[in-house]
Amino acid sequence: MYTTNPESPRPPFEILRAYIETPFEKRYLAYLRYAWQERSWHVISAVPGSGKSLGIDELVWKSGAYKDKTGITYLPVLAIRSPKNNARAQDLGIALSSAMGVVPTMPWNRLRFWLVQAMASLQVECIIVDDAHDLNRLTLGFLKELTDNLAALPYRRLVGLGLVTAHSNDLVPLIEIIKQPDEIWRQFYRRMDKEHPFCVVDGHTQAEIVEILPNFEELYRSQLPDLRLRRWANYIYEQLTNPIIDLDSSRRVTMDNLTKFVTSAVRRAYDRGETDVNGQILKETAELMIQHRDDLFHIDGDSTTFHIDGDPINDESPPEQAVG
Amino acid sequence: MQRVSIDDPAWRTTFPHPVKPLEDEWLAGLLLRCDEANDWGSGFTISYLFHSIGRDNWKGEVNFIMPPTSIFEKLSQLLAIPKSALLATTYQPELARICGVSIPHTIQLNPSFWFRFCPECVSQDRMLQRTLTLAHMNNCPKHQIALVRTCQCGMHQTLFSRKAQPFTCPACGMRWAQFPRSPALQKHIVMEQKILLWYKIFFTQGTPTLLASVVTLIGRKFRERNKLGRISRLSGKTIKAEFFSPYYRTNFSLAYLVDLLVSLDLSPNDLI
Repeated sequence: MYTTNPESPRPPFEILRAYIETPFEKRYLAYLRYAWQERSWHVISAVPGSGKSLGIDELVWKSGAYKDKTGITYLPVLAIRSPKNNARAQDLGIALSSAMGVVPTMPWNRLRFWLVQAMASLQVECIIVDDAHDLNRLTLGFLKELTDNLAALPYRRLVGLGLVTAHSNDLVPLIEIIKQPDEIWRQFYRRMDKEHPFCVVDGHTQAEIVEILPNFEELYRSQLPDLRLRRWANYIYEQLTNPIIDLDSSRRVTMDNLTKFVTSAVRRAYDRGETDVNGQILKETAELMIQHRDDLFHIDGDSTTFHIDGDPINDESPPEQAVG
Repeated sequence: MQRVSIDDPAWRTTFPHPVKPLEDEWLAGLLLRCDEANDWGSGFTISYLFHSIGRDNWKGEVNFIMPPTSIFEKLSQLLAIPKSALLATTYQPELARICGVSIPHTIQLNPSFWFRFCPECVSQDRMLQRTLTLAHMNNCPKHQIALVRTCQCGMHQTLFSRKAQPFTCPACGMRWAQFPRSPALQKHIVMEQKILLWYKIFFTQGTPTLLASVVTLIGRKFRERNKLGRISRLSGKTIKAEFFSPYYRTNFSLAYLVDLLVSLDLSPNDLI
């Protein structure tokens, strides 16, 4: 962990957050936008921590949705998080209606028909379900019913569908349900995109890490004026593709891991009064995130000081690399 | 703010289709338009509002001339518009000022209200005017046609009926906009213009002092006319002049005062 210096004249370190359109986000959003524009159906999968939910928020935010007080509302992309724990169709219905705002409670047999009307009047063009690996036969079946009703008279409204799932070991969830031989799943599968019904969006390569790091340099420029992360790109990439973190040995880096690594390193540098990270700081960060990740923390004594069980850091620092 | 964007926290706390009050719209009409905009049955919005304040059995005990103030707080959030804009769909602020109380009561405005509407206002703008809550108004001042209460099927219309779509007859489904129109008689138009003028004086300038002046004026006119014995009121009933006592002036409703002012053929100039 880290130790704050109470004598430091600097204000406390501030973690900054900003949406970075990473190469992963570009790949991933391209599929979601395709589903929206072409009204196509896809299961889009990526490993946990890739930035799937952030990407959905970004897409919805930029979709131009509004509620006008003349009674006209435009919600082209209706995004929800899948209900959990063996959800029923009505749980999904409630999640969909909640994304529209406040909807008074109504019986399920009424809500399921109201949803069709509401989605037509809100001009919904694409439904995105985050954490779609939590969907089941009942909720998937309701999605089919809902979109079928929208496609029929009087609405005649085709709607894209993006089922965003987390996966591991290249096993994409939902395939085993959708590819069943029953008639309903044959119909469901028939509605899916003909070329790319199941997509896996990969994490970041080493070259892409080089591309992303300047965004963090800019983000933390006010706190670490000399911050130059790019020169450590190779080291960071190697650490974050360590099999302890990269469980599938994909040799790809997730944005979550990269953000945590960089944030931890720049905070450590800031608390030591530095204006840039150095090899020693990166090494300590890597040790904490990888080698000591599952070590128990003993919290005792001075509340500002934590210590961990483990060997003292005495290895050599990583070599600085000429990158970027 | 005319629009709510999806990154605004108000997105989650507003109805899917929020509506805003039209000029001089009555709260009940706003609630019906909200039902209609959101594809809900008649009375869905008002039921939700009362449910949210813990009053599920609101039917029969609430009129929409002076509804409970707590519903305005909730409705303000659900429509993302200021509470003051919602209060303006009633005569509550005006009546509070006139009577010098914080929360006025319906009987201080109109103790004998029943719902009627102008089919033309509904047809043109889905509009229920705030003036529908005023006593002695039997015609639409804008369209000069008679206000209607009963459908051709014989059903008295109610504001909210969960069996019906908004702005329709709960019995036969006929749209209020399609109800037949009857032109108002000229003498009624003239009379109601006088009535509205007095209401306007009260609503724009009314204070307890003005109210006292009006009561004093009426009392004086009654004494002058005492020899006539009885005075004919707007409803056609008569009142014995000696029965009017200014000592009980706090109990007079605006409806009663306007009735007497017009019946006595008094104009605002008589107040000076």
